[in-house]
Amino acid sequence: MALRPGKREQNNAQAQRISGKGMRRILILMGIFGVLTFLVLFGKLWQLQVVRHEELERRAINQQTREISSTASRGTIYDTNGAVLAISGSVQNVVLSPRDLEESIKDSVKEFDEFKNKRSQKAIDAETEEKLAWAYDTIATELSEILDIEEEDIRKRLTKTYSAYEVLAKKVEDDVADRVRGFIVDNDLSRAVYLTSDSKRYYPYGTMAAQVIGFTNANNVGVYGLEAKYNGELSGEDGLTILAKNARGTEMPSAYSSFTDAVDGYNVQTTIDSTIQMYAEKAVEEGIQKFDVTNGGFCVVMDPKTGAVLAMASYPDYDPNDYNAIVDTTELAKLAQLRQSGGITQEEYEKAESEVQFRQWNNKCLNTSYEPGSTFKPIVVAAALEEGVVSENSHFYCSGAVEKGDWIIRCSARRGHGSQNLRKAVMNSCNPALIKIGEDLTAEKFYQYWQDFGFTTSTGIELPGEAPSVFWDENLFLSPAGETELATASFGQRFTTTPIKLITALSAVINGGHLMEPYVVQSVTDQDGNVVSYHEPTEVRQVISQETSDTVRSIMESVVGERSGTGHNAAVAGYRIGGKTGSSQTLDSKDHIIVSFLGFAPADDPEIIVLLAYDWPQPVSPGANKTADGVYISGGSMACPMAGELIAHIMDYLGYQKSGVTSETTTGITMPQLNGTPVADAQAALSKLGLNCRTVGEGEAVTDQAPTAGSMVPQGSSVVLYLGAPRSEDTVLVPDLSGMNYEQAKAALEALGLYLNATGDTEGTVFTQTITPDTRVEVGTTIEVRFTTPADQDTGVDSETGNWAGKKQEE
Amino acid sequence: MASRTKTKERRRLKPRHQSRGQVDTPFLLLTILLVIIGLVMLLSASYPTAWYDVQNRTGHDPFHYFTRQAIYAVLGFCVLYLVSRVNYSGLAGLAIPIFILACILMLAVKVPGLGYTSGGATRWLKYPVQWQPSEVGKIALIIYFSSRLAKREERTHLEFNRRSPLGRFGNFLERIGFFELIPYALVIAIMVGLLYLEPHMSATIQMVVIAAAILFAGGISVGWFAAGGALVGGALTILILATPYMTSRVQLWQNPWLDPQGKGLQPIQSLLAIGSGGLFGVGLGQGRQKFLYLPEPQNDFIFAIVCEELGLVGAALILFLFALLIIRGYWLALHAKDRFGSLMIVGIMTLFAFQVFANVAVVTNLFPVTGISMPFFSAGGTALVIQLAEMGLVLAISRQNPVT
Repeated sequence: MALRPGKREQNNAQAQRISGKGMRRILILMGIFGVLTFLVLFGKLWQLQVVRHEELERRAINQQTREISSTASRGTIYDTNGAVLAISGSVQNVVLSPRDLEESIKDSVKEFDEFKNKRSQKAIDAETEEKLAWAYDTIATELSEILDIEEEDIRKRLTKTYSAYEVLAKKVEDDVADRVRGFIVDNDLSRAVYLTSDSKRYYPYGTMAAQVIGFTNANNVGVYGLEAKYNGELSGEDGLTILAKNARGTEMPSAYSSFTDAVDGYNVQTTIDSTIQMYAEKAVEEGIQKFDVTNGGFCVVMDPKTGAVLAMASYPDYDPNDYNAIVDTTELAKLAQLRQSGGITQEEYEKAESEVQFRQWNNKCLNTSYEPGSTFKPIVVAAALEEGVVSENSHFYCSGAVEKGDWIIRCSARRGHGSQNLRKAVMNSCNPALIKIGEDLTAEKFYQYWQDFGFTTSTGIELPGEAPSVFWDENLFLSPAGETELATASFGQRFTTTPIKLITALSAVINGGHLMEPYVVQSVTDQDGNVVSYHEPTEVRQVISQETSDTVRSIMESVVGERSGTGHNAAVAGYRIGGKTGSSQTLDSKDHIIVSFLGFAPADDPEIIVLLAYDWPQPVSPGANKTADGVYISGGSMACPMAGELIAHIMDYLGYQKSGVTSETTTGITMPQLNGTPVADAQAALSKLGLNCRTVGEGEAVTDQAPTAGSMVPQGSSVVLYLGAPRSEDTVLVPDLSGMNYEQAKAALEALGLYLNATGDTEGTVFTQTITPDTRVEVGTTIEVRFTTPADQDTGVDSETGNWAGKKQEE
Repeated sequence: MASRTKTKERRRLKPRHQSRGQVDTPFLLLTILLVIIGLVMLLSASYPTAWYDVQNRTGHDPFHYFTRQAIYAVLGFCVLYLVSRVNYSGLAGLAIPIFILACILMLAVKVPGLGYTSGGATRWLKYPVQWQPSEVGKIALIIYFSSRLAKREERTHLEFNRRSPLGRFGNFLERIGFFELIPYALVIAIMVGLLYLEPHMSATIQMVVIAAAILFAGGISVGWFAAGGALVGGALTILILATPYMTSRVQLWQNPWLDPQGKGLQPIQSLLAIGSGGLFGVGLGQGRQKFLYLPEPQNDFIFAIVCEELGLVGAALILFLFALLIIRGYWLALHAKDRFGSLMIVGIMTLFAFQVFANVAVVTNLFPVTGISMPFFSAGGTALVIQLAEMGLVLAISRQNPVT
């Protein structure tokens, strides 16, 4: 009973059930919608989530995160005494977003409209237009005034409504930034104008040591000098805060948030001494003025014992605070002329300008090589002495010229130096003698010493772009055909090297034979003062013996110290100075002479070594050997006195006591302090010192004196003591003393009530005076005057000037 | 005893195994599992939008969408249970009234005060809650097609005069099944016409797809599908090439980065979400694209968030569950008691499968953007209730499956 209806139903169902064909079709649908579509989807997901995962994830993270970088502050560069040479300060960039300005105004109009009644689109557009115009006017007029830029420029940028990042002003200082902030707040323009922080490099001493320090570009990356070489150490590491932001810019939770603190850059302590650097730069600049020098000059001051560079000056120079500006007036004049002359395109002008810029950024002390000339001779002498091929007693004969291969090489003394010993030969800077010494040394040994003195390798100084020496090919030089090359090399001509290589090698010649590694960076420290690295003096090798060094040093002292020495103009009373002059002819022009002097002091135990050079003093007329001012173009007449003065200043600054004063006429007397002493006592004290005096006034005791205490006055001068009477307010104009001898100068000054303090070779004529002519000074002022012996060709004081070589056939 | 007799009477009318059989357990469990997973993902995808409440809809309540969806899910399961108890055979007789009702409802959206317009389309009725009558339209279509096709064998073939050319042509048309298709074509035409008025493109596509699937399973000649496919394909090609609007849409579909802030925004943000999920995802609840980057992550694009948070592995697992459910659905269709039941399941499961496929295809930019939501996942209470009702109908049919 129970089964029957069931069976019937089943049969019914069987009859109505889906047919075989229908079943197959359902199976097909099942395959399509249950399997196939899912395989397609899986394939697509695989493509997006595995194949394109990284690309899409990067894009997603890009939009989800906001990176806020905190700038690491760049380290400071100090001189040896802790004076700041380069320091960074924080500044602001002013950025305009025309896009956000437009949007914010549209939004505000729309929002306002939602509160009010619904207006027509036209009315809304009109209001938006009006508000935009107002905002454009406000921004253009006010910001152009605050930032001191063209109003037109701002208006042009405001039209770029697609842009959200228009930098209106870079690196503005706090006062300007504050005004911009005020402007933003006052006008409610925080979405349109904003400030981003940046840092700016300051060089407090301006042009001082510009080529050593270098500079940073607009992106705060060091591109020249120490700024470039130590960019990694100085720049530190910028901090980065990554915040996950939702699409509205507020924070959201995310694993990609990260915080990295900025690590400030290290500080760099240089060996540069600002004072010595200033002296060196002054010597270079003054010489350039004085001698009509057209190609600039350079000066390196080093500690010969350690290789520490105390000063490094290169001219033309520039101000790293504004490194693109051309500082040198002659270069500026040339450019102005170029522009005025017309006929050149803007492009050509810019090219000329950038060439000048490169020249001023160039550090002549190591980026360019030059012919060292006679300053190289002590190295040849040292090598010959060390090898024993010559001795102090060797004699050399100079007839005025010597034949080498096809060439006749002349000595500067056309009549010849005659017979001379080694010391004399160096004092005379005699070319034939040096050629003989070079021959005796042989090319092999010459080349070996050339290498040993470090001319073929980089010195290792921590400044970028050290140039190589340009010497003959080793095989040519060592072959018999290299005879002429050896001869010219012996007196420092026809090859080039850098000033830093030369001064390093000459330091080894005078310091006992130790070739030191020159350096400008004493130490690198972190912001807490921990020393990261410290430069210990590094000896590369011992090149010559102590004895040889002592001998050469003594010979070089004679070059300066003895009246007949070519370097005598460098002599400064009270200091033992040694050195060697150089006047090198270059190959590019007969007139192109580089005059130089290498000097050191004290001669018995050198503490400083100086190399000073002027590139191309202009002769009064082509081929002439004197400048327009009548200064003979030679190292001995130009670089020598300047270097002597410089050495004296440095020695004074370093606190060396004057000793062994050589010339009685330059004996200065230091004015004692007499204020408050009774008249009689004061007069007695003065007469004891060998000074005359006159009194002004009726008092019992001295109330004032002229010159003031501590001034140097020559023996026998007349000084004034004031006894209650006011000090004379009289002033006089300083006379021009040039060309006068000692007696004339003294008389000229005393006639005006001024005092003479003579230095240098008082048998010569006035070379410089400390106070320039026509300066108004008080009566009683001491004028320091430096005398030099005029060097002229016939006496053959310096050797190399003039055409020292000529083809034999042409003779 | 008397009351027992009465029960026996009823039992005779509705035989025991017809209405008292067990519902299909795997199908039910898969449905429950997917609805639960969908709820969890909805919570994850919707809380930032709900909390930020940029459009002033949620009152800054992060659980806004989740709570509503959960309530509707409970309601939906009640409906599912009730529908699963129904003897579906009775629906065959109601096919035409249901169809007329659906048409009236779909027309009612155009009555001012009843209909709700959004984004230029009037697809919703405001009462009793906001819902789409086209959902009923789909069911009406399924019931009508299934019931008619189930009785296909009973249809008397038309005979025309073989002597007249017209008559021979008529006989030819009858032979290839042309006259048989006329009622179906009419119903589709009415539906498409009504949807065109709203307008509602995605529902139109769904209608066509389910109609085709039922006709296909019902045994209609394959040639008609080829012809129909060719017709639709050709029309689409002309439409795309001829109208600049469609051309630009296709271009944008192929490279959404053409308009990253406008029409390309949603696909781009969706791709970024999916892509950054990688193999294992950024972790449940850890997604970032839902933080206002991907517009309306709780709606059509919820699967992008699933991919971002659960990775390829998680997304594939969910798709696998969907595939199982769909395959089980078709399996039930194969084993249904009668053709009517079979075809209804085919209609429902094809609709369901097509929604899943089209949604994920849009989300992954395989298809251009059309408004098809993800069944069980996307926020939308009435849609969920209707989907569960449809599942209930499948279960109701499964109850009567003969024991195999």
